Amino acid sequence: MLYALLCYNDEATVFAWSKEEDAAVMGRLAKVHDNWKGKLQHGIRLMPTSAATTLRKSDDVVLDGPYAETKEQLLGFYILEAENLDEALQFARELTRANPGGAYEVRPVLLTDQDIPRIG
Amino acid sequence: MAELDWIDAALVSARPQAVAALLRYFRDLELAEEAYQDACLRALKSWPKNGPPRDPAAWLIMVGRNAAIDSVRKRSKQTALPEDDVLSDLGDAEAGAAERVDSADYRDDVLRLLFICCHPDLPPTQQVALALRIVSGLTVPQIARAFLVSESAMEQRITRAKAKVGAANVPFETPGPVERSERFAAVAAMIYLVFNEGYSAGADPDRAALCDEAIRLARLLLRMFASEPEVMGLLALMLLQHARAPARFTAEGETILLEDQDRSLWKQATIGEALALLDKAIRHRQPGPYQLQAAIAAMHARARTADETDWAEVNALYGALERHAPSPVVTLNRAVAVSKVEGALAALEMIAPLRERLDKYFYFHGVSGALLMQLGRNAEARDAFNRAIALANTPAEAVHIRAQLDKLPAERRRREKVISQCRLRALRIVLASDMKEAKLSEHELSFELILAAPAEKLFRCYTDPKLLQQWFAPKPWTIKSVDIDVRPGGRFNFVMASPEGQAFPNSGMFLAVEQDRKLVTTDAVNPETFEPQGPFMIAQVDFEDLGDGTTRYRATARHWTEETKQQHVQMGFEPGWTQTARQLEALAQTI
Repeated sequence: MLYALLCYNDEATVFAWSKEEDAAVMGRLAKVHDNWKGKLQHGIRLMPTSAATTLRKSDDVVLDGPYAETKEQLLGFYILEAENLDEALQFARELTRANPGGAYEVRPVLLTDQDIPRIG
Repeated sequence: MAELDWIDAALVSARPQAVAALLRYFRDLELAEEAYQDACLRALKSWPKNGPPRDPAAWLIMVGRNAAIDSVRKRSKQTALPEDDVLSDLGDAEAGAAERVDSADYRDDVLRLLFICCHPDLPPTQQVALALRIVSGLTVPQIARAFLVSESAMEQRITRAKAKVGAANVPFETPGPVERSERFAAVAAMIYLVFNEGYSAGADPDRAALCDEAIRLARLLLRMFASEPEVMGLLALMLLQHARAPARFTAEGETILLEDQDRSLWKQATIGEALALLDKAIRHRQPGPYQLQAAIAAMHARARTADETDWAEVNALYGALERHAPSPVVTLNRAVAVSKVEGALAALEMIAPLRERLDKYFYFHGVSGALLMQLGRNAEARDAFNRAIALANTPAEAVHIRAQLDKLPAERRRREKVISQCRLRALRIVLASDMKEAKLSEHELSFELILAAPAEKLFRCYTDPKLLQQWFAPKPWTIKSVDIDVRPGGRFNFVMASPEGQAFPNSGMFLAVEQDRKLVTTDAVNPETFEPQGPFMIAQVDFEDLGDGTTRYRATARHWTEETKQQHVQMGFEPGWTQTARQLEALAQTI
């Protein structure tokens, strides 16, 4: 079975970490990732929500920021290599035509588990 | 992460929200800060015991407010409430605050707090200091270090700034759209000031941390006001500039120009975030100065090498920036792009009218000099560079211009002329001696050794000052300082010290330099004045690499007179030079 683990934390706190703290956390995570090599398929750290854009599907309105409503649930996600935000939104609109209702939050990826520098 | 680290990060990130809300409540900066401090102390006691609250900011606001009300009541000598059960039912405190914290006027709290710090009556340095103290929560010593002033001076500066904003009566009502946009502009400028304090600080990490702080403040602002394209632009601009930080300075702290930077050192993740923000901002179709500056910085970030820069686009963006925020400095920057697209002459004509206004501006003369140099107007370029050096704000700037100055062909010719003159003089001394029949070769001392190191390494130990210093004096003597310019006509100055600490300065010139093969020096000529200085000897070392990791090393000292030669023998020429040769060998084996 494939499982997705969705990571939640207080963004303001995480981005208030010092560089050293951030590197220490990343280093510890990398060790865990290594323990699960072969089973772990992808690990992804997203950019802060300030870099996010949300496409509201009902009226095709593009909103700045993350998807903030709580009445819908997270049902899936895509990883897309796109030239820029416009291209990513174009993909989201095509998806909308196939599957209306709800919203797509478009959030750039900060780094993947492969990008985390290994320590020690 | 240790528990205290977590609490610390949570307090830092909650601070702006908490202080801002407490300020709205008390309408008094001192009281709001006190209440926040009080809440933090209680958090340090309660959080390790009860676990972190779901919403740290809401917790701090509620607890701080109750604590402050309590202390105000006590101070005003009214009947003190029974020891308030502030800490007893934190779940309720949080629930009560959560709704209000999510509300829209709460965002205006933070904006107001930032806005108070950039009151127009405050000079920029006070604005930055106040914001760092009140919003970011940096300590006075931290801020003092960042500004390179004493703690007491910074304490005074912040106290004065607080008094001024306290008297300024910033309204506490929710601002209207016009007022809000004015506040945005002032706050954005202040955040950018914080950034520039760090950015212009060179390689000093204490000061460079201000860049991170400015970025954090901009992210905070954008989280709350998600649809402000200029805030996106500001954040993108700072991220793009900050991404270059690892490539901006040499190990010695000298500035490396954008076009000379190693772009592989630029932080790609940071650039990525900036480009994502710019993409978002552009969709609003409300260009402004920060977005345009960020777009220009993005053009550089997108070019893999300096040569790939799309200067026509950069020029167009600067043109747009001139329309949005006309300023002679913008025009000056645009001139650099124009010089790439239309040539140096067009750029020079463009900045000529700025001369009067920018005459005291370092970059104006730096750019003028560079353009004049491109046009081959070297005398004028030299004047401009000299003026720039006089106006430099940091040693790094002066060093950079000095390097430009040295590139001037006339300057190079002038130096080469001086060097050849001095070489001629040195030769003339030799010739004069020869003519007096004082044949140098007759007063020669020499010896030969096989050293177990390749010639290339031995030569390096001779010509790298840091290496030379380690072996050149026969131990326990030492070399206190070395200054060498290894080329024919170049100077050498070193100070040898006896074990008792007595210093023996020695100076002279290089007469011949052949890479990995030969070095000839003389102490007969003063390298500064090029005057003869008590002719003593010409020293020559020859390296013959034997190809098996060893080198035939021959040291020769030719003297003007038999007397000086004998003097040299007395001083222990051969044992001394042999000892140092072995020291040289030992060092060469380690590099």
